[in-house]
Amino acid sequence: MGLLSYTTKKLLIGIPVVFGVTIILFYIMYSLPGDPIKLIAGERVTPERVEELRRAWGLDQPPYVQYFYWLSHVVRGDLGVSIVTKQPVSYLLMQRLPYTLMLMLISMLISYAIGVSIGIVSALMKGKPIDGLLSVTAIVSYSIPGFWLGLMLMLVFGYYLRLLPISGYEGLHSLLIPALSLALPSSAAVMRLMRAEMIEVLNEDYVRTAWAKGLPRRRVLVVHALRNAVLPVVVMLFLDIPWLIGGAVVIETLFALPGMGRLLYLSIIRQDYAVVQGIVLIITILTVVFNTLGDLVVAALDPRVRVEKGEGM
Amino acid sequence: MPEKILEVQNLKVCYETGRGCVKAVDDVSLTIFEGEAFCLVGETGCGKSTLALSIPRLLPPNSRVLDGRILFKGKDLLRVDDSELQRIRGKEMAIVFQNPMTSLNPAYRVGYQVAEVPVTHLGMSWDKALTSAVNQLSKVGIPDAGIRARDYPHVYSGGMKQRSMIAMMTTCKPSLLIADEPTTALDVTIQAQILKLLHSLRVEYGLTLLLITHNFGIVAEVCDRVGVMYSGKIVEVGEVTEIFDNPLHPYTRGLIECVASRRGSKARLNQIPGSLPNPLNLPSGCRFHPRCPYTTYLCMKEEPTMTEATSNHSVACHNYKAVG
Repeated sequence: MGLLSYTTKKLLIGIPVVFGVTIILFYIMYSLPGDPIKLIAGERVTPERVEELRRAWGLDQPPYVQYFYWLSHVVRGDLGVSIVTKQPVSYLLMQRLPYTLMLMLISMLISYAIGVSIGIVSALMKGKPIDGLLSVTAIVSYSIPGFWLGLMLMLVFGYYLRLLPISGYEGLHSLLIPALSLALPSSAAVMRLMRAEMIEVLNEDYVRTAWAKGLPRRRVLVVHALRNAVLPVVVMLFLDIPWLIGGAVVIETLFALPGMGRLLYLSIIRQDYAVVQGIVLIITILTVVFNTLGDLVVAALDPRVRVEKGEGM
Repeated sequence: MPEKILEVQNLKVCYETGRGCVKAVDDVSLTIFEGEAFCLVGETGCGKSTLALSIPRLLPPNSRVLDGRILFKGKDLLRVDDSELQRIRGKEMAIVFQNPMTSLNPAYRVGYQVAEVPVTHLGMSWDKALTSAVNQLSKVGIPDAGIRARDYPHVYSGGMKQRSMIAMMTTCKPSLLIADEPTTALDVTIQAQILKLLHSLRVEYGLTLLLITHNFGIVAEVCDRVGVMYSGKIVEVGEVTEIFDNPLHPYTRGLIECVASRRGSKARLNQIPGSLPNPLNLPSGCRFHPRCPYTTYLCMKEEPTMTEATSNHSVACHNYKAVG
């Protein structure tokens, strides 16, 4: 089985996952209290008008009919129209997605840069006071909720120091505080994993072999130890991405950023089915894609995995 | 008299445990001469691997060298700085470990891992080093070394991995090779091949071999001189023929008798009664006395010291005259 067919297989398995998620979500949305028609129609409307609207939006149909109607359009690339703004969902998503992706990218860069480097330092200083201090700091920052951290950063950098905008989007620098609020708690998890892996690998026989060969310290630590210790961290990076999107919902709402997370939050409140479905569809697809990508990167880094999944066969 | 290449003096090593520092090597002195093959024999847990690992300072972090000196070519390895130590390791002194399965880095091709050594120590370019790695691999008996050098370790068999370890450790033609039970993890047929390989490299490079083993059969095959270790101490040292023909320590005698040999039809394997003492609760006097058939009152009271029985045979036993 080649790497290509492995990837294809993995992505094909992803398809039922994606549709499973949309079906579940559809029923959850359907069973929520409230009526979107009443929300868009307002209060002083005749019952006839309400029925007319309901028929026009197809909401008089049983849920499975609605779902298949939606699905049949999705496979043709049509995500539907927002019941609130009357704009196509794909247009809304295209407008919002870049902000969210940028926020995720910046926060991942920050989180892994901090987490990996501090994790390594901590592992090399194992048992020393610095290691203890770093570990305690990590646990504390892991326990801080992102929104609270966001508020505090807003207060310090936006209000007291006036270095960065408090909320809204005025350019890339507006993403800095939100990205930090997303990144710090997750960097603590990265740090803990990196530290544990590094400590484990440093005890491996092959690292002792590297020392026995008389290799320079830097070469032993980076080439022989880190190379192997970083693998699980890379896996975590790719598995983390869906969680970052979840975090983006809160953080984008808090900072009034025009991203997909905030759109999702608003759409759930307004019961804008089509938009919620569209966003969740994108999130699920991204999750499947990043999981597959994660596997491919691990295969590229670990020759033992490569044999099972490609090269050797 | 050949030059002394390695001299271990009064070495004491212990491991930190929850119940205090457990001595694994207790006041061991040992001299190895240039060009010889010296075997260190003893049961599992007697401290022979600890002694082996302490020489290139590769002991695990929970261990501590309490006292002693390790003179390698006149330099005390316990006191040289890191850069000096790094220059010695892999170039002048090399070590082959017990478990080849985990001793190679899974993330790199075997050829690369061998080539690292000449790149580091001889300042060779990577191209040249990779070519010399292929040569070295074929020298230790890897078939199709040119192709196999590009394999990752996980596709190698145990024997091939150990051969690659030996290739890696001998590319710089070290003067001392420490082999810590190099064949314990391998099949018997492979064991013989590895021992043969070590022997031929010894002849070709003129290297000194310190072989750690628990197998007296290997001792007879490979070594010039033998040291017998028991419970962290060396109890007998001498030339291999001398030790086999005329063992003076009751423990050595027991070990030799343990090697299976058919005597008539009712051949029965000899064994030494009891087991190694708990290092946290050592017996008084001679550590071997609870298991020894020659025990006297003196053995329980006083620890014997190394005495020279003949010019090339020393023993630490109060009653060696009665044993021999």
